Amino acid sequence: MGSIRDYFGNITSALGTTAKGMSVTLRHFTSEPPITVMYPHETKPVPPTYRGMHILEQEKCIDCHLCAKACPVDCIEIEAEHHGRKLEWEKFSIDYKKCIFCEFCIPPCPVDCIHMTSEYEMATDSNDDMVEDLLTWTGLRPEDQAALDGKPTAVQAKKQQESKKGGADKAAQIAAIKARLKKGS
Amino acid sequence: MEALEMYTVDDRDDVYTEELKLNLGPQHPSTHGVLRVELAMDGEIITRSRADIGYLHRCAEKIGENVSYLQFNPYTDRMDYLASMNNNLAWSLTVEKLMGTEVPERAQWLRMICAEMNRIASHLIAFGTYGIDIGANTPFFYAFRERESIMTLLERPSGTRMLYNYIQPGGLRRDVDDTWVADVLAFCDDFEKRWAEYNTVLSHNRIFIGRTANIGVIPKDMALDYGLTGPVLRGSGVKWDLRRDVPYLKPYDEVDFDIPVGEGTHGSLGDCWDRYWVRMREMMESIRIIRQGCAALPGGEVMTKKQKSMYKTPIKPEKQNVYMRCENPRGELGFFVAAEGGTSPVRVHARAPSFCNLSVLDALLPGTMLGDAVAVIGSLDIVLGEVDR
Repeated sequence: MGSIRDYFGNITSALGTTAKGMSVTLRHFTSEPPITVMYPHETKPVPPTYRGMHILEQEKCIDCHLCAKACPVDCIEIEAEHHGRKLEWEKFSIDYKKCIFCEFCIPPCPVDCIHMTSEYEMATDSNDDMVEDLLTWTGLRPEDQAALDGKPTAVQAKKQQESKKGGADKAAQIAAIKARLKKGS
Repeated sequence: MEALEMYTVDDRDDVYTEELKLNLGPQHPSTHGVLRVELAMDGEIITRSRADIGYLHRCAEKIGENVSYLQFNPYTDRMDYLASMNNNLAWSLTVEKLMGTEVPERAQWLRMICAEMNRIASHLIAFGTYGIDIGANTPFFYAFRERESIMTLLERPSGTRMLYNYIQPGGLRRDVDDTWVADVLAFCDDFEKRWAEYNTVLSHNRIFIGRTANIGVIPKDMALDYGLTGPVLRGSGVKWDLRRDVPYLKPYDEVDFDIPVGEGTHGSLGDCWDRYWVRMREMMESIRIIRQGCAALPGGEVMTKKQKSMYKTPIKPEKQNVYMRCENPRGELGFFVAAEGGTSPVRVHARAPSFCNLSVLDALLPGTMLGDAVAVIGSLDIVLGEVDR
């Protein structure tokens, strides 16, 4: 008899505890707001300290290679010719296939000319696109730049709105990043 | 290790079946990554098992011998990627021990707060994915919701969501502001309510208890013999926690917290439920530690100016061997470093808790049913990035 009582007791307690759990689920289902956002139409804000793609203040840079030396994965390639105090830039490229976004390239810079932006949407269908030359990169992808002239899609239109704040104008964008960094914790 | 050989079980009189070799993984959701377990099955009973590891081997230790002491810090993130803060902490403490560096007091307290927050995040994954292993989907989403809050909080000072690289040799990358501390405390209040819900949904569910109690029992002696650490060891009733026994950060001495151990609530001591319940209670202890840490957080700098010079010129410790260990969410993470005066160490070794805890799997599985193998693997809470390094 005891075994039968155990058998039905088990079923009862299993149903009871599951019902209790389901009540919690139901409460969440009805009274809690959803926490997900409809990416890519909406995005969550990133903090000012975010470690995204880099941006370079070319006129400040003195070609000292300290950032390249600090890089644990050797993803920064710098080439420039010195004509006295003037620099003739060949390239300042970052291989984002290698980059681990550790931020070690930022603190060694003696003139504070390399920063990290909040750009994180860097998916592409080609390996070559992952190598970004910071001399030409202004914070906008080439296709986005092209879309600015043509008829933009809904996503691109939103990007365009954001980029108008500083994406097209590199100096303004750097100023914005600096302001954010100063504010940041 | 050689692969298992097929053979027939013919020592039974009544019935014998041909032994079946079964691969669990490496692409199996319940192996939590790329673990392959080779099982020899007699019907539904496991007769022998062999964990096959190495699918995620990335030569982390060898990389450590080729980069500078500071540059290895982001690589430690990628070992136990669910508890990057704790890994950073272990490596930073190793380098500090090597150099004899004193860390500012504020940095020490913030390190403790960040490490404990990451411990909660890591245990939340253990809790959520364990539910999925057993067949409960809802807890997983609840766990990830709270983990999201922790990641958003840790994102603010560090700049990334998962691979923080925030705790660095000599201190911290950045200071936090008062609003951050207030937000952390608000999270603590919120989390307490959520924690009670987890228990209603999963911990005290009769079906969940039926699936996990008296399964994969690790007796005390066995736990010690296999060198298990962390919640797996404490689940077997051994009260050993480096935070209390070997306080590697000064604040751990000053805050008040308990060390939950397994009590054999549902039958045998050291079963899957005990290990699970230790993790659940550890989350609340971490909340206690964070609260005390936020209240006692002193002012000052988080990294001395002298230390900041290491960003430009790599440090060169004198010739010595150093071993430093930390209590990670999964157990004792230790780094052994042999320095010989250069900018990079000549030998780096990580004593990974997941690796050592996994060693007990082959002894636990024989005799259990195939469905319970999933429960046992989940209760060990391994991260394959750390097992293979």
